[in-house]
Amino acid sequence: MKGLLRLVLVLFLVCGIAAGALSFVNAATRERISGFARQEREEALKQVFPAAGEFREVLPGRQWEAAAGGQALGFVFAASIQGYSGPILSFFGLDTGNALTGVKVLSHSETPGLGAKITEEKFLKQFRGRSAEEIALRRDDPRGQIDAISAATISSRAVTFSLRSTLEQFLKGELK
Amino acid sequence: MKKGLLHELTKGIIEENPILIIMLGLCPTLAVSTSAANGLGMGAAFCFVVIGSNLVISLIRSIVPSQIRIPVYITVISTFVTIVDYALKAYLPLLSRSLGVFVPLIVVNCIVMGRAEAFASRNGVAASLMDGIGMGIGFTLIITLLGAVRELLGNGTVFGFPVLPSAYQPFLLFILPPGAFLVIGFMMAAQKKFFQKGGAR
Repeated sequence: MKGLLRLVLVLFLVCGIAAGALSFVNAATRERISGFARQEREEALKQVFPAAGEFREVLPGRQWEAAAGGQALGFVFAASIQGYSGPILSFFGLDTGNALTGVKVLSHSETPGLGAKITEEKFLKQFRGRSAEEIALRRDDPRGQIDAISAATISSRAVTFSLRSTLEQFLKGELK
Repeated sequence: MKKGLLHELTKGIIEENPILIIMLGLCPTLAVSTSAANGLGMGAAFCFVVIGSNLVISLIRSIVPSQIRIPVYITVISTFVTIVDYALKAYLPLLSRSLGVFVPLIVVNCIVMGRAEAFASRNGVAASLMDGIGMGIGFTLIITLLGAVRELLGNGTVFGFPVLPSAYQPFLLFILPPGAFLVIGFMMAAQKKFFQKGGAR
């Protein structure tokens, strides 16, 4: 019985100290971690819609209204999809003429050197100024205007498809 | 076991290198070493955990009953891992993202667990500290080298700087998982050839 009590006590003590240390670390870093996430999102909004100055959240985490000097210029949407090796989250801006203003991939876990090239400007700049029916890979759709990244068709297709389907949802009035 | 503290430090680097000789912790090693920077980052995180856990475990080894030593070790290790994970997220968010799940997975890294069980729980604080530092350096050295070779062959860069002429057609295989196995195989062969003491095996 005495031995058992000792086991419980030691384990309790170790866990208590560990929990104390972790709550201290959490308190010390929480501010910075959430601050970074917020800052990153603001930068992403600005990047996909450079003409806008203010962004107002319409649907939390999914849709923002972009404006400059009080005048509405369009929207920014978040699009997510399952890529080649994990979810891909991207933001895109849409002006009032329903053309894309810019695209940025925020998070993904595609293969480095192959699918990870979806974050590069060389791929993403192809979307600028495109309307919904042009957002498809050239190899998949005769009206498509997007060249897939060589050796990363699945990742390229995933990004393209997620942008297009989010955009179509909006055009059909399924988003605000 | 009386071989001096310096030996405890140096043994982890070549002679008992955790990756090349003991062959532990291959999962994060192979998965993360797609670039030199990733390798170095992972190595640094690993160093902190193995040194910290070796230190604490050797300090408390006399009061921990042997029946519950494993849960105690896991608690100690996971505490250090969580500290590293939070610190990376707060101060090096980009590195934290590219290392992904492999930082939290240091909790179940068999090198850390192995050193705790095989060394820190049986040796004094100073020796355990040296052992942790040596193992940390050995791991960092190999994973960074592995990352550098894979990045060089697979992407033409080292630490993000272009090294090979732009005409070089990157050999993508080396960034993909098979590349990790190929490179580590050659590294093990080189280690055996140049550092193995006369006909031990």
